[in-house]
Amino acid sequence: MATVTLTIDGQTVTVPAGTTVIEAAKTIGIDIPRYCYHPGLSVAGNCRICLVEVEKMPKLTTSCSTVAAEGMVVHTKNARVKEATRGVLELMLTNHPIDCPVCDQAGECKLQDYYMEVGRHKSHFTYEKTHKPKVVELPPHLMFDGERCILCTRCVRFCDEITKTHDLGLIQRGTHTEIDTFHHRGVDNGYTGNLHEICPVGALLSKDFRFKKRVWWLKPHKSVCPHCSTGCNIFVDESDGEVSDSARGRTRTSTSIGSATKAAINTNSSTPKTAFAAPRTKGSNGTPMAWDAILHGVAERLTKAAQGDGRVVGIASPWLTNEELFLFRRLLTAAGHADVDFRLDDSHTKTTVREDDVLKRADKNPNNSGAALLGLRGTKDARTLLNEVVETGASLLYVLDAHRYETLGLADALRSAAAKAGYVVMHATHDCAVLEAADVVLATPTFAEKDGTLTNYENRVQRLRRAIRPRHDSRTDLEIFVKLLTLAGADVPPIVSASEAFNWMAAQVPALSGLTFGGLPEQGVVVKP
Amino acid sequence: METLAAIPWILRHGGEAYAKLGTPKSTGTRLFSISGHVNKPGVYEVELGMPLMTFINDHAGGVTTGKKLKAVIPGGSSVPILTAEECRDVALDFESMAEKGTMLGSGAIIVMAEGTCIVRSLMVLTRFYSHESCGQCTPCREGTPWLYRLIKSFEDGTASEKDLDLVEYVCTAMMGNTICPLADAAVMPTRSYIKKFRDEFVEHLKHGGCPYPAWPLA
Repeated sequence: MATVTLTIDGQTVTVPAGTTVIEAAKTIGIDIPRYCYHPGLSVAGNCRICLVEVEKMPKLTTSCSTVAAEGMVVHTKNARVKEATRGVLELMLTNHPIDCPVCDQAGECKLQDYYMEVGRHKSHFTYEKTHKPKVVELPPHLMFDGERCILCTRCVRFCDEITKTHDLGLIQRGTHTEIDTFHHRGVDNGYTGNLHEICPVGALLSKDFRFKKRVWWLKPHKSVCPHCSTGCNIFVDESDGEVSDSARGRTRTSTSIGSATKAAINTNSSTPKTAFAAPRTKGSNGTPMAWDAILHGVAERLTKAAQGDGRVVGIASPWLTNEELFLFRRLLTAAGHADVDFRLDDSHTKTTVREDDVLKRADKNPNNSGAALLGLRGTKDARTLLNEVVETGASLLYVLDAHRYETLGLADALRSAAAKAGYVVMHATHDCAVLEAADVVLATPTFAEKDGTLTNYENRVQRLRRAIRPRHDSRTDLEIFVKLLTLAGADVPPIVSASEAFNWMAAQVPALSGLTFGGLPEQGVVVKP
Repeated sequence: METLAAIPWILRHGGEAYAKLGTPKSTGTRLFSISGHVNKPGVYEVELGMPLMTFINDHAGGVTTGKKLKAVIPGGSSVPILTAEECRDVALDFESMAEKGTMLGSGAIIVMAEGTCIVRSLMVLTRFYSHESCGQCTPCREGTPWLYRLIKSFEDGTASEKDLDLVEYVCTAMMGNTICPLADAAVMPTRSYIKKFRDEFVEHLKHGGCPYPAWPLA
């Protein structure tokens, strides 16, 4: 690959030919201020904050649009550059309302950051500021403030280049220029979460997160979006044990879109629409019971099944982590002959199918690939298995993520099967009517409340991280399986963490051999099934 | 258009004959569109190198009857202004203009006679640039209206002494920092007006506004 060598602030750096100065500087840890520049979008060069001096060029030049050349000598911090940057920043703030105390962006606002870094000026502007539309709703998820907007056009370019929906544009001109939609339509392109994310200031904000919380109280946790098989890397923002509605995120760099995008988390699965499930047995008339007693009861049933007491049917879920799925299979093996499958619908056939040219895939489950890779696929899918139980009965029916059955259209099949099964165990995060059919309900936490790994459409094994403590009386599927296996006398090490479970699993699954939980890279690792 | 218009003559008479017109470095002719306080405003084609005053007096009919010359914008509103004094020995060619620190630019000459308020003239210019700014990049979008309001404050009588320095401060933040030259085009006349007619700005400060009569001027 052709390279060029240049000097930036006295440091020599060699970069691939075609690299811009701003990116070249980044490789040696020099962070040039930027508003309009975003590596995932085309270069606009309109904010002018990234001006640098290139020797032998008469004027300062924008580092975002200048391609590094052999022998180029760049200054990013000399007096001339500093004066220009401060000037641009002051101009940018002349018509900005400076309403940081009531702005949700405060704390992660580039205007604040660069003001502290290069500005720290007392404003010389004494006139009435230009007034523009404020508190503009762009349904369904965005709030727009025209006065805070610095017209960097990141959002416009995002809608033009990434989603190709062209929702936003510039109207008027000069100091009256505004961002607007055509005829005041909303912006609903499925990636609106990205729009308030790429806005460097407080102009585009999340309606859900509005006035909810100061961002410095949020603690970001790296995680993986569970809403489709793409498995984008995201941050889950937590504060006081609650997940912020503005689940902010960044994409894996393994996608060609760069880090500009993330799947919109519009319906945050960590926020319950219904009440959480409570652990209980049928005999307790719905009253919550102590975990130990319940699990002992289930273990007894499993042991009985292992002794040949009829058929055992287990239905997994593509929402469980790899470790949990692996342990579930082990559990059913311990129960003797068992039918097991994870195919709740036909989503597993669509795992690699793109839904658009951006990020979304047609498979709306995070771990169909993992379930298939770990051998959870039997000969019959969930519906067939349930129908079989209706016809021939079963001694034990073990169903995971039962709260999903209603939406999947499987609730009736499950109810009918449960009626014919000797003993029915259901795991669920949330309460729902179908749980009534279970002999035992085991409450499990949501994705934001557990650790583990998920395997995406390209068999990339990625870390899911616990952002918050479980908010209800639940045990992770992992804990439950280990406990049951131990009680049933199976040969399982005393696993207490996802890390231990992963390493134990990796030692037994050829595709994962050599991998360790702690050694998984930031972007996960692609495995061969 | 100006170039195209020159082609038939060049074809008819040859390139050499055309090159003989003008000065050794600024060859040929140019179209000058002269407006403002002259008796015969219009578009004239003259040889490059013609003294500015000859052009004003012989072709444009001289400064409006009964008035003395005050200043000339020699090449469109974006170039630095020339004082009457400077106009005396300047010629209409690129080099002579460059020596005076200005430009021939578009060839749009604006003549201002005594009685013209320089501050008001600059106010009109900065208002024009503020209105013309497309708003794409920051220094121009935010700088041009600021300049207009600053200059206007001298006219209104709301300016203070430090506003002259502030104009220069804003100019520095704009000059050379934009995508296109519109910001520079606003800065160049502003700086030259203040440099060459600072007294008049100070007079506005002292007077608490414009000492000249209201529109129309001159």
